[in-house]
Amino acid sequence: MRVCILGGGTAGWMTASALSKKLKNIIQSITLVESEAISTVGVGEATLPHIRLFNEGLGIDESSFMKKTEATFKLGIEFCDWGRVGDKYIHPFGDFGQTIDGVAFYQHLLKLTKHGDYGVLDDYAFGISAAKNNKFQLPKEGQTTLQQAFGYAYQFDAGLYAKFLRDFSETNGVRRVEGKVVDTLFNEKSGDVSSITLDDGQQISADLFIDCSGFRGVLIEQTLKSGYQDWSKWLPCNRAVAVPCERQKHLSPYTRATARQAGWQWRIPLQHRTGNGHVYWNEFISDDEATSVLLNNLDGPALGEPKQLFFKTGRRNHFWKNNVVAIGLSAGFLEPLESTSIHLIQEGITNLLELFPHENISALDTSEYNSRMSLQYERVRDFLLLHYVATKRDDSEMWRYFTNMTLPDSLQEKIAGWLHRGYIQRYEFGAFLPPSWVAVMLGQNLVPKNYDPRVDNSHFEQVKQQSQAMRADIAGAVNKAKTHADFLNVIGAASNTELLRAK
Amino acid sequence: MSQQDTSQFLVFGNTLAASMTVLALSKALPKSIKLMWVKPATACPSDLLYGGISSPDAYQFNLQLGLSEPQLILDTDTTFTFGTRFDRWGDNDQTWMQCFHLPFAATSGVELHHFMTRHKASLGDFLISAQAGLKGTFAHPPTDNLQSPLSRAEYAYHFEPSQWSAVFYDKIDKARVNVINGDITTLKHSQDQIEYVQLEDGTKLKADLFIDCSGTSSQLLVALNNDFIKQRTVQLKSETQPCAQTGPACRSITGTESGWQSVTPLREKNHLVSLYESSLGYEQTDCQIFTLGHRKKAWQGNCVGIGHTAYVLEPITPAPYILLMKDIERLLELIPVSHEVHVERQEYNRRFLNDVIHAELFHHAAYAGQREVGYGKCEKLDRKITQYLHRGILASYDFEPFNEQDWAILHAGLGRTPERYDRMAEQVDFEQTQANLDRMRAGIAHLASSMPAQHIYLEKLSMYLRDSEKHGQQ
Repeated sequence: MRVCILGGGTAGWMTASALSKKLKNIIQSITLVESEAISTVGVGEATLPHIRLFNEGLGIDESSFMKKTEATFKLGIEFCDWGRVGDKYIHPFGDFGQTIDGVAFYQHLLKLTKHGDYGVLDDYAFGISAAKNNKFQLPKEGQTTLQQAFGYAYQFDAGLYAKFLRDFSETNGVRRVEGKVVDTLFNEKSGDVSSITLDDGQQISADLFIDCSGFRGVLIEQTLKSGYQDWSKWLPCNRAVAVPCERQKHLSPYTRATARQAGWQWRIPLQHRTGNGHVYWNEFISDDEATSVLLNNLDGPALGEPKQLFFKTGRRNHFWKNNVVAIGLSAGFLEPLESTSIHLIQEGITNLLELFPHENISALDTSEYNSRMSLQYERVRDFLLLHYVATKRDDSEMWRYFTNMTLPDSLQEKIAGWLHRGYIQRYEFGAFLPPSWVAVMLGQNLVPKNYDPRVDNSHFEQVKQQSQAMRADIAGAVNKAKTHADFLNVIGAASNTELLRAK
Repeated sequence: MSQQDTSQFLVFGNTLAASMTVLALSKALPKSIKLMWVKPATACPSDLLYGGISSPDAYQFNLQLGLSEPQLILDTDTTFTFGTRFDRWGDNDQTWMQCFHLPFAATSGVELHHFMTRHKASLGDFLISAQAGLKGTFAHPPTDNLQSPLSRAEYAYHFEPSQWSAVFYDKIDKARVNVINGDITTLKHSQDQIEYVQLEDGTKLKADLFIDCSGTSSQLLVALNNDFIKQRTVQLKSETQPCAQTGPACRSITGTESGWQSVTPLREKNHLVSLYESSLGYEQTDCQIFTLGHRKKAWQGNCVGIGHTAYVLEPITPAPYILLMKDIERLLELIPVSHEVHVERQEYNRRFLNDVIHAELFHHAAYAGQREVGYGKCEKLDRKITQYLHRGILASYDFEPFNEQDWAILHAGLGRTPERYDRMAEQVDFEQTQANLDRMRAGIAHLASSMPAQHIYLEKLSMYLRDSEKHGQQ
């Protein structure tokens, strides 16, 4: 089977590297077509811990990858001004505290906080405490279960990651072709794309096309007319403006997402610079104003001209149609509030590997792929929407819009269960586990009216002591941990690049 | 009722479900919730529907309730089981061991069952729990030798529900639970709220939550809502036969003209159950008639149905036991926090329906493509079977009662062979893999043969446990 990947951004090169490594002797040829004239979006610079599995699967050395992509460790996302102006919390990767008498710790904390000051949820997560202190260590270095109960991801330069994977892919036999698609030929009878024609006249035929062409969806939409499910009524932000800036002195091991009047602003610290962007709804703010909000809220001087992006949240009706699989922004777009862009690329690749066609593409493969990916996108959508509706903010038109919104049933039920008794409606297949929902809901002041009644069956004095011990354990370990910058140095992941400075 | 206000729960029934539920609630509920158990004198016959087999989770579940494995082994006729051996099942007279197993070993990221397709091998040959079950041997999976194939095996129990009910009953703190021996004769309700129940002696009992564990009669729940969705009717005959020594660590189910017959080895006796399909016109004497199916809602108003009150599945798998555990776990997680139970009820019913439907899928799958036994068309099962046949994909839904291993073993046992396998398997050298598989098969066969027969293992284990007990080591 001959594979053609259209587009060489993060999605394209991640797909190329995975296919070339995992299906090395099976795929007859992999050709990746990209044009240097078309810039990549490269917005999703922050990741989820799942990315480590992806890299490990390719046999990538962590330190060398981090060094080459200017990567930093990521322990979570700090959300500022979301629940109320002035509030902040960190959504970490990992759980809070330790289960007591078979009941999740946060339930005990709901009771404890009614009886005095027992700290906040953050104090019971090593990842959060470390993040707040700009510290880092690997989970396996923890001396206690609690010190090991966290995950980590990376923040990297998506352009450099694509380049890194390009080297990897080309070493594994992927052929890169420079060019822009000017025409597409497809088989009238089967509806399959048979070849693409490039601006230099070159024609590239393949049995399977992977569309990583970004928002345009050159093959999946422009050619095959997949159709798009518009989720703007739930996630109405439709534009972003992005700009890197000089890095601040301390290297923080977390991403920051700050709520604004008509959207939110991201801050992603890398080794050589800090990535920033303002996602907004143009109904309530002009592009110039949005840019101004961004530029007025940077850590340091901007390193270039702000870059404008336009999008519509939602997903394709078909992620895989005929012989075209859409991966990345061509498959759908959900704002990068929880760093899911690269994760959804990874999900697409993982499912494609498992369902990679044999001689012919079967409708069974496409339907299975589409049903899995639909579920992933919908569950991420609900989690993102939670951030906008779990709030007391009504200080602008955008926030008032969310106050009056009719939520998807799936999310409405979750919020109702939480508010009533701190209950989390779980699922098995999706990116965000119960601790993530707890972090956001409590972090944004959705305090349940009641706690799990089983909590009252535990010996309260003992629970108090255990809680104190947990906090002390975490605080002590964080105190001893290395700073994030030192840790990068020690493992040989520190980049040699001079810090970028504004001209 | 609000957080920490006093409230009262009433459990009704003389079933395994009742004793397990009461014990679990008595351990988990805060003291502000009073617990009452109305226990009729006669045990409900529908406990037969457990088929005398638990799932591997029983070990941990029992332990949480304060019941250890040594106690079950010493005080009851409980035996170990690696699963169920199906003989002459279905139109093609399939024979296989539906064993319990931890996730299969993967090679280069590809799961074992794909290599079975590639190398035209039989999955059961590579599962120690299948081989040991077939050979009648048993040993506990080691926890300190993860290199041993036996460490990947899982085991469960053959048990007699009345004995387990008694053991659970003994564990209940009678000062915590008000056990009332008696039966409910009348029930007063308005719309979907039970106001009170009345006992034979005229006593009226009120409660905030009624927990119906009365078995298939659903005495309380049926008064509020009769929304049972019937699947089919079967007749079950049960008998016990003494035997000289304890049988193998597996139950057997043999397909017959009229349905099936199971033999469950207990200590020095076998429990035999015969199922006759009512639709085939077999009229048997000494049989109990059961209508299989499930309710749409297990929680109606202020009454929750646990176990066979809410669903009736034939005991060809541990599904009835698994569902009972899930019922109890679900109830514990959703103990009402106030008089307004809308949220708890809705969530309980959502999870209940998913669990039951997913358990039924597994049973349905055991008949799919075989004779028609009354299951309708099912999109979820179609997906599972077509994906498996197409390329060995084990399509899954959230928190299914049966895991991927169970499904892979069932498909393989029924002779379902995928047309293709995971393409990543092709990355692994064929000859080398074949040699590895040959070694693995031989190693597992040898290990299964070298383990002791279950009756010997149980004798020695019992002796050891009695000695330990005597010397206070337990």
